[in-house]
Amino acid sequence: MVATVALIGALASTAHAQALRLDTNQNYIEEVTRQTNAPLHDLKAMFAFVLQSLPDRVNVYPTESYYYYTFYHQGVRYAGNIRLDAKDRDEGKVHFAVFEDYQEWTEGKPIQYQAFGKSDGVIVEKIERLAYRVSLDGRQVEFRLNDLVQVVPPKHVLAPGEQYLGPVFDESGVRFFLVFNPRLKIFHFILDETVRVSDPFQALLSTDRILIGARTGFAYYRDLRRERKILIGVYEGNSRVNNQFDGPFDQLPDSFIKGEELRNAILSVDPSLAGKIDRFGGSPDGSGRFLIAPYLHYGDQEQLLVFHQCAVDKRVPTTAYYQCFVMDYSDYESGNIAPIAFKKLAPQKSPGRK
Amino acid sequence: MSPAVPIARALLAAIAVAASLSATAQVPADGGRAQLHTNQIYIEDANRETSLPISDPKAMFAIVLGSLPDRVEVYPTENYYYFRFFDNGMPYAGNIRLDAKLRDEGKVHFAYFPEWAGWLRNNPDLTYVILGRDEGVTVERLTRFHYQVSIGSKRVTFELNDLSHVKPPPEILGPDEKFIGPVFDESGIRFFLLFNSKRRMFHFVLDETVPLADQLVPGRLTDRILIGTRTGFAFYRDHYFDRRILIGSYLANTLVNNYLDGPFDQLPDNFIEGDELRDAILQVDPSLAGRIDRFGNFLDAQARYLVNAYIEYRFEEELLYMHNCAELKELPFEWYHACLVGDGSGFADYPQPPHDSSAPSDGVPDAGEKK
Repeated sequence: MVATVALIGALASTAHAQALRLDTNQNYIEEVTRQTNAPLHDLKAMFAFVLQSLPDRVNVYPTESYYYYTFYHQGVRYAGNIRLDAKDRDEGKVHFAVFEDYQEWTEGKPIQYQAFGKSDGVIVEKIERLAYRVSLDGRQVEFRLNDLVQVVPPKHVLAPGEQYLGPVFDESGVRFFLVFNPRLKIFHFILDETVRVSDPFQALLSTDRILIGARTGFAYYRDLRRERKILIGVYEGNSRVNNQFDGPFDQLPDSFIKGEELRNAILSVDPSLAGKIDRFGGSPDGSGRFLIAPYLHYGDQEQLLVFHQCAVDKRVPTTAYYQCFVMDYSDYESGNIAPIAFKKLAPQKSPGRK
Repeated sequence: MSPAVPIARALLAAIAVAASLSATAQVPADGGRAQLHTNQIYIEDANRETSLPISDPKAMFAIVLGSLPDRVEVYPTENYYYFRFFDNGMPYAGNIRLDAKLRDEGKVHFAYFPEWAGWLRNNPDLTYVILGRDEGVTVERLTRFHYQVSIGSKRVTFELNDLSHVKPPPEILGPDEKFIGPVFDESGIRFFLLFNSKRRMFHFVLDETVPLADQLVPGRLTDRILIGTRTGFAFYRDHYFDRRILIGSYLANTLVNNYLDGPFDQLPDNFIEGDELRDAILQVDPSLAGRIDRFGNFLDAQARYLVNAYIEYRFEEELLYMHNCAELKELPFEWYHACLVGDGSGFADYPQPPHDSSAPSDGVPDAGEKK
């Protein structure tokens, strides 16, 4: 009896010391059933509404400088972002978007988007290199961008000849090194393991070379040649609904790209873009951006096996090994998608996804 | 979100009194400002280092209870208090359940498990215990809908959802239908659980006596089918009564066992009168006589009878056969609602099994001619 009391006392003190941040169904229900006001039809008022809802100082982790948010309004989930784009934040611009969140069972409604600046009554002030103050209607919020300027991959992580373009902090909370291979003209997202990876891995049953992040669904290949993990897959369901696990294609290291390094890499992949993209890989009018997504959007774990098959396939030239980890989407319309190295083999022997 | 897999569904299954429900329907005192959830907080939560005693359910119970406020409201009608948390980046889901069957014996159910995802091999890796006095946990009944749960010095009052006055408007009930009880789903959607004694089938009918916490959008194929923007629940707009009958939940939500997996796991446990539910189940399946209790729990297995009134769909097209059936002009009224139970079980007694090419199960009338 005494022992029991002592145990319970210990448990209780542990509980007190380790209060969890619980996300409860009670809160969810109260949010979705609440009658709310959100000025969705007035984008500037909506921007003011979001700024009012933020604390005075926020941290912007993703490297394309998006501050993402969601909320429920009249039982429906909305999503959006405030972006301090490296391209024009120093010109006093801030980008704002809001939309009905994507779900697989509904057809999405159009995104509402606007770039705000001084002429709209929105002031964007640079406080320091990676800190900006945004003001509207007397409300000021300081946005601290993610300073990853010191982040570099350990030497052993880069293969000979590979070029490090910059650090990627994905909105999933996972960090990568964006790497370019000039000889093969391919990009890789390499998992940054210099910091703790908060995504427990589950190996495929058929090979422990392929690991799936339990939280994110990101799939990695444990490189046969060096101690590193190459991003090879993103779960297609996440990509379809554009959630925080849609992959790092949209979190390039904008604040850390040195000079023309990214544009030069892109132009070596596609010389026809000369004169058509800026140093971030974007089109001059900002409507598009060169897509760096070397990974597969997979629906089933088994689809990822193609990377391992390629990596161990004796027919693949040694020099083409890293092309096993980059999907070739050039024949996408016909559904013939496979790693570049496999595509270069005779088409009839390609085990790519049909 | 049911706890996990059939075994858990069986094992585990507020004074959100009228006052609190009406409160949710009013514009709150803060002017109704929507609460922002930010990616910043998500990233900080997911990356937080923790040292939770995951393998020790009693210690975890103490931590979870210790993390709750002194008073909480349990909305879902099977009395699950659901929660989620991160443990070193791994999302966990769990629940505390004050089961109608055991709570007055001083027992509380507690479960947690790594959250399921479409990209994982989801093992039923469920940690589940029933806790009571022997484990140092006390469950004390304060009122019919108030229970206090204690461990050590921590006490939490769980207010169960008092829906005892909730009844469907008489005009939405068919002549052979009986109201079994109100359902508050963990999605935040309310239903009336009905039983059609003539066709021996159940329906979950949307409760529209309260504001709907979703927006229903007409389907692409027919405006008789309505899809919930937030929940993915698919409803059929009844031809005969001004009501919407649940005909589908989105399959991917069921597969990962989230809050949108449908109301099969939120039966009206606190409001079932006598043997009404058991009697209804026995009308559907007489072979269960003597094998289930009044909640539909199997006496000889850790399982519960599945009230299977809707299908799990991936594409809207998969719902269309029900509409085609409902539109059959030669179909008598007394068979009409059998079209809206996806497995075709309402047609078990259909006198002329039709030669059917479109329906997914035997016995459902062909969907040829329209009204």
